[in-house]
Amino acid sequence: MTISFRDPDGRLLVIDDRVLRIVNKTGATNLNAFLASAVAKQFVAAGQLARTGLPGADSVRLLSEYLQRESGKVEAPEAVFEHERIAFPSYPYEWAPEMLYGAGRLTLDLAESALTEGFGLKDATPYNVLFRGPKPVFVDLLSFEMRDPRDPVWKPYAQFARAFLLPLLANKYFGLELKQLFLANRDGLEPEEVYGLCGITQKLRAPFLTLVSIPTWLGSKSGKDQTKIYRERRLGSAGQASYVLDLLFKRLRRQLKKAEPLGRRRSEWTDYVSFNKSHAPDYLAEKQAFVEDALSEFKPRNVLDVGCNTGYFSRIAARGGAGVVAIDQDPATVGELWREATASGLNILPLVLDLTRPSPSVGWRNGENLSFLARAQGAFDLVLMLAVIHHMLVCERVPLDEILSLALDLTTDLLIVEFVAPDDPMFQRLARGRDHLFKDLTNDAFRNACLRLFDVVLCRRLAGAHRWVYLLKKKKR
Amino acid sequence: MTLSVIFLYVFNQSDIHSLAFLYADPGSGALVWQLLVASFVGALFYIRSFIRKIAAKMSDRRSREQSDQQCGVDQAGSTTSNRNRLQ
Repeated sequence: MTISFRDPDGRLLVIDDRVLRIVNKTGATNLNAFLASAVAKQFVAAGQLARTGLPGADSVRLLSEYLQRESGKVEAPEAVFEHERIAFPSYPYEWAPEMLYGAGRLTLDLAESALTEGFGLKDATPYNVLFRGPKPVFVDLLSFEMRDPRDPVWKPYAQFARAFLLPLLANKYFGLELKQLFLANRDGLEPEEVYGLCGITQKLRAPFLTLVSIPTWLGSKSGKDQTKIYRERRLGSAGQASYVLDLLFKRLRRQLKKAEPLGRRRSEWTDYVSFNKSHAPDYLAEKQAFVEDALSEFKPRNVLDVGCNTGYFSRIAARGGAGVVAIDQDPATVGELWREATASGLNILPLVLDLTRPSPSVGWRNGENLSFLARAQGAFDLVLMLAVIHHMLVCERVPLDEILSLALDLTTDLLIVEFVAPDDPMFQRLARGRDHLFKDLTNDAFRNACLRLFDVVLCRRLAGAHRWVYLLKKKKR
Repeated sequence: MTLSVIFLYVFNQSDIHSLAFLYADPGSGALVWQLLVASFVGALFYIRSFIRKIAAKMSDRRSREQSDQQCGVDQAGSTTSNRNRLQ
């Protein structure tokens, strides 16, 4: 299945979990030259650039079978490269703003380092970056090309502004969520789109003046000579060009820094766990012990934490050696969790996702960026749904059987789920008087619903609460 | 019009062909702004290297004068005779 096709020099395919890139002669020359460079080796060693090499024998066979099926004839492609597979792909509309910032920083670092060895970046889009746990990794190796050292223009400048700087600014100053922005527009925001949001004095102040106002004013000059600006340009000396580019990157870093999301943003969810810690410490301790026992007994490799909030349980799972994907619909908590995971080095990939309305498949023919559920298929052997299903039952009115059926699809083996009974104060707070809808939702009813799809391995009522936590295992078919 | 005049001074336009390997949208307003800044900074670079050359020449001349004076002081007795010879 073709993942990327916009670059004229090649395309990317994923066949059976192998990531293969078919390139033409130009692409192969550029890619080989770049892979041999010191900057590529340095960034690969630091885990910031995807490892790339020649494909193994299995991969070659799979590829030729695929191509034969696709085109009906046996053809040997010009050149093929294989990339390391990043465990869980994610997209900018699922990232917290902090993560978009991190991806932007990596893009600038790579672009600037590559220039010192005569390589340029062809494009600057956040789709070039995936996350390995919390760490950004640049994966689009075909973006690098050899360039003329006297060229003073960084071609992806406008795209970098559209895809990183302007969305971050719009998020920071106007509260636009990355989710709305990137689901609607593949390429980010045009300066003209942000222009209308700015106040009069804002338009004249940094960073909006140079990123929004001036490009808008200059762009609207619709003259017949407009095409002249797209010509290639060269300066007198390489030193002069590198001086120009040096200052450009310094400016871009300053602008990116200005667009950096503020830390410690407060929302109604950021203090949720600390509230529990102070008001019901026994409850939390028992729940923690239950989860830890399950993790140490079954040692799952890949864990999905649904409604992770501050990541209290994601951290426990990650410390046990699992790779964790942690999802929550609040960008502030996801951003905070990302900062902590980056600082502590734990293998946690936090994403902004509402499981009742997960990312759809978007892009060309709704096949370019697959939905969250499609990516999650077969990816997790343990799913955590702690203190979350009552939100889905009450707020989204999803039937219990549907929730458990989704959980069955998400996990390949185990599920830890917390049942919150209707008499629980939190449940009542969410229900806002709609208790009559849930009079049949008892612990026994819940248990029976689980038994239709899972085997109950363990169940415990949590101290002093109307809450039960279950460890369930998929039934052997 | 004024834009092309600015560009002409700084940019060597002998290689005239379209941005051949570009496929991401370069923007229009953003590109013009980048080119304007690049030409301004490029000109700045010329001025800076010009100033540096002058500064280098001046420090060169100064160090030569200093070393001449040193020579004069070292050969204590013969300074006057040197001067006489130059005259």
